[in-house]
Formats: sequence, structure tokens, C-alpha cells
Amino acid sequence: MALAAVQRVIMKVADNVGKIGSLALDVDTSGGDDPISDFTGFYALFNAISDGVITGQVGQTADNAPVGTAAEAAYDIRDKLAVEYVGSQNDHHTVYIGDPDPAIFQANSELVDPANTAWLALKTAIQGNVKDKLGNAVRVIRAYRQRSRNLKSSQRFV
Amino acid sequence: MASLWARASILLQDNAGNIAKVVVLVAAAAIDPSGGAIAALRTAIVAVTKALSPRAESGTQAGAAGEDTAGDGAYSAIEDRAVLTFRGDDNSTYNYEVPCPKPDIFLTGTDTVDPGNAAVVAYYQWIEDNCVGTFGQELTFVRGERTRKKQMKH
Repeated sequence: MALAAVQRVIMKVADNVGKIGSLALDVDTSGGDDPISDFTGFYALFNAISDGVITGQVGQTADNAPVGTAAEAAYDIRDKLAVEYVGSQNDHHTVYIGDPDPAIFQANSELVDPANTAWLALKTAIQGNVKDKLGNAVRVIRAYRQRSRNLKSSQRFV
Repeated sequence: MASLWARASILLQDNAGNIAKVVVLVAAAAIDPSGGAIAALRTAIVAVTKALSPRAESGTQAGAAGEDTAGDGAYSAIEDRAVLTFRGDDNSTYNYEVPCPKPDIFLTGTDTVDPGNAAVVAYYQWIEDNCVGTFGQELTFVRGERTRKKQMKH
């Protein structure tokens, strides 16, 4: 996998009546460091030519190298694996993963097979890498199959 | 306060070309989507789906920076823009907008950015030294002009 050539920083700018605009600039990827950290010298220069104030910043880093292949399937991206997990403050979250492999579910059931190797690897990856908003680890509760009604692409027109 | 997390966005695409995103929070230091936490999640997710993952992205966030109080610009100042044009070293063109530009960065009686204004020079030189084009091209300042956006949201 390889990082995209550039990282982007988007700044939200407000004027004196609270209206919001934005500006975006690209920087070299610098090995995947937070691009916002490259902008410490920028703010004073911006304030010298603008009456607006920077009220928020978003840094974006992308990896455009594909992983996996799209298999032929009767179902499609609307078919979802819903994974529920809780954070350190008992905050509850659900993440939806599109187009799940039917092999991870129990026979004649919408629940995942708790012994399925790929599911167990996903559960371990989530509990080892996903964080809550305090930066603490999360714990997976359960996972099940669900059908999404929301589509973002041309499928909605078929 | 620095964010305690980074946002991981993993794109999935089925064999019909439909797309969906999986968005979770990961550790603040896990910025590189080609390795570490995001790559581990991506690999585990691809193993349980029939979909391809064509792209992964990390997002970081930070709060306000620079001055706290907006200047006394004209009403609806955010629609007022200075558009600074840069040329990439492959002759591509990039336009970067400055919302709410201060009136004194323009040549008197014109909509042209004063290329000799000290604040303008410092600003575009910082961009030349620190920023790049979409494909990593080096940038050179060309000119700047005042323009007006359509009405912005509150």
C-alpha cells in the first residue's frame, strides 16, 4: 500500500457575523504525520491578510491502493454486517460493513458464527485498534446481518 | 486541546460498483492509512466481505487557531474572497481562496491583489515553501484577484 502524493488540510473560517467559509491547502505526505502540524507558521500570515478567524481544521491523509477484490455475489453493498461495540463510558456504537461474506454467519441465522476465523480476526482488530472519543479501547458486543436502505451510488436508480 | 483520536474512513465497493464507507475512530497517532491500525482494520474488514476496498483515509481534527476575534469587515465578509493563483511546475494552475480579505491587500481602486504588499508576499511565500499541488507539484505565485462567492450558510 502507498500513501497518496499529498495530504490536505481544510480550515473552517468565520467572519464577524458568524458566517462560515473554508480554504484548503495540500502538503507533502511527510510519511503520514498529521498535516495540521505543518501549519503552525501559517495562522499569523493568514490573519495578516484576512479579517476572518480560523475556527476549525481537518487534516486528510489517503491511501488509494486497493485491498481485496470484489467477488460475484447475489447480494451487494446494501447487505450489511452490523457490529455493535461499547466505549469506556458505556457509549454505544454500531459500525456497518457492506457486502459481508455469507460464510461468517451461522446457518439459517442473521447472527455471526462466533467461531468463524475471519469474524474473530475482525473482532480482534476492532478491539485492538478502534478507540472511543477519549482514546480508550472499545469492546465488541455482537454482530448481525442487516439490510441497508441507504445507497450512495447509481444502484439507487436501478 | 489536541484530538484524542483520528477518524478512519475505509471505502468498500461491491462488484456492481456500489460504494459504502466504514467509519471508526482510531488512536490519534494512527494517521498513516497505509499501515498501523487503519491497515489492520482494513485487512480484517476485507476478509469478512465480498467487497473491494479501493481507498482508506484518515482524518485528524484541531480547533481554532490564530486570532480569536474576526476583524470588522463589511457585512457578509465571508463571501468576499481574494483568489490567489499559483502555477505548478508542470504548468498546472491552482487557485487558493482567502475568505474575508483585508481591504489593504488590494491595489487602490482595483480588484487586483497587490503583489508587493508585505503581508501578501509573506503569505504566498509560505505557500510556495510549504504547500504543493494535488500531485505534489511545486507552486509559484502568479497573481491574485478579488471575487465574490454566492451567499454562504450561517
